[in-house]
Amino acid sequence: MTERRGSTGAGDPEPGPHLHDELLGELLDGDLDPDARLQAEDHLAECPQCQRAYSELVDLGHQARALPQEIQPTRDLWPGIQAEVRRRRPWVTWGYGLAAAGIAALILGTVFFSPWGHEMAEMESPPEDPASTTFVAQVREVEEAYEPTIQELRLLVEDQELAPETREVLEESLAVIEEAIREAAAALEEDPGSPQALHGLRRMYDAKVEVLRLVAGRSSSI
Amino acid sequence: MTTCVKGWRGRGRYVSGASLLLGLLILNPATVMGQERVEERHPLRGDGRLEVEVVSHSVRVHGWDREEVQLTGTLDPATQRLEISGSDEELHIRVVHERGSRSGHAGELELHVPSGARLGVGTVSGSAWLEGVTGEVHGATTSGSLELLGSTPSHVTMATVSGSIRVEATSPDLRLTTVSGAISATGATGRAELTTVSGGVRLEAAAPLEQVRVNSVSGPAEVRGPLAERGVVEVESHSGSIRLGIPPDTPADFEVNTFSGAIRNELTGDEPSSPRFGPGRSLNFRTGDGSIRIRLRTFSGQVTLEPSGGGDR
Repeated sequence: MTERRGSTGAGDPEPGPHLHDELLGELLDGDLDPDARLQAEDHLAECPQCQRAYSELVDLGHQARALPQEIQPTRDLWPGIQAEVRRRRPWVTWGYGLAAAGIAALILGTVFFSPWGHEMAEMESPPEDPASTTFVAQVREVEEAYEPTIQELRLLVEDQELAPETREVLEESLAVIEEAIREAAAALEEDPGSPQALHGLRRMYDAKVEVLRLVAGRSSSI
Repeated sequence: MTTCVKGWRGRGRYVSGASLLLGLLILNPATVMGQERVEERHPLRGDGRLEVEVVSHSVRVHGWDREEVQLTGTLDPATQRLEISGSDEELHIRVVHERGSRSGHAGELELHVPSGARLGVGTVSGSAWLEGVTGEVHGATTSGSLELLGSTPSHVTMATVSGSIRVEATSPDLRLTTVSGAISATGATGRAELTTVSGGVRLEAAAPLEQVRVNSVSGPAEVRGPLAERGVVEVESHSGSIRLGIPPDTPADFEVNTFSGAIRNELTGDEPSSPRFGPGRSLNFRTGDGSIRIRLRTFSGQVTLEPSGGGDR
């Protein structure tokens, strides 16, 4: 957890082993558990060297955030690119539609886990359109990362004797999440490079997992 | 640890006697039928652990300064058996219903427990209400509500599916989760993590907050109060609104983002901006030395920053 930091001044006291950079980063990000955080803060309060390192880390973050997050072109290039792509490949629009339909089905948790799912998804993903491919790949990656856990939890929940009103709340809540997933996926389709949309999509899958986990845990604990 | 179970209506059976080896095993000879009264006393150390599991009973827990648990109340007619087992270090109280049975009359249990005990209360449809406790508190219900009042617990974890959670207690560590229920927490002092799908979330600090994480899908989220030096606040929502009220002189580094929602800044004169092309709005600015980290993010909900009372930061 700690390391020796290079001496930066003869007058510095030595309050113990120093905090290493990763730990300082976790402290800054708020990722430490309460005990580790307290321990780190106690050390930080007494150690000028680690204080300096921490300040540098804070400043570095500020500087990084001050940089432009993206470089904008001088004009909007996408309409021209889109028009050209569509002119060359008339099926692209249809491909988007199919991809969207695939995503909707995927979100419902059927396509990639049914015997015909893989084949259909492969057939319907337009491989030569970069934006669409990125979009489908991004959504598929997220979905594939979460779906096994979701399916497992679904089975656990199905096995439970839930009161009808609880099941209703669960289904309503999952519907809210799935609507949010559709919105995030649609945003990702519009803007395949959008970190916000991708983040939103992942978060909603997280939420779905957490809700199922909560209900599965709740109903099986009594 | 398993429990020796005594039933009624001829259903009694022994699951295991392992707990006999672990300490004091308390059979409950006063198992009752129908909505009968129950009255029990069992020793429990001041730092012992107590777990209570019920189905539809409401549970009221009071902390006291004795090293014993007193259980009083009524069991509802659907109760199959009451199990009490364990030792003076760890006590389990469980009300078992016949599978699938429902009763129109919910039973009520009242417990007096050592105030410093570590408590776990689980219900299905019953509500739990706790006051005057100082140890860890863990609460979970499906559709019942959870309330923790007038307490100073070291750690609080509460989870519900549709029930609401209300905490009016001073605690350095709160973790509250609901699916559709509302969360209201006043008195947080250190770390707070609140999660909901569609319920509203409101967190109000009693002392500077060190670490706040709120996650919502469609429920509105509100965080209000002073923040500690080098504190971290992260609030995320999909379509729910986010409202952050902090003292105007809070030295913080702000990053606010929304994909299609709006951002209102009533805290400073800084204005949100949009990228030249594509969706999204963001607001990044810094006040003072920027030592507190604030990250607010929605997909389509509105974000509001506003001044709030000072506190003692």
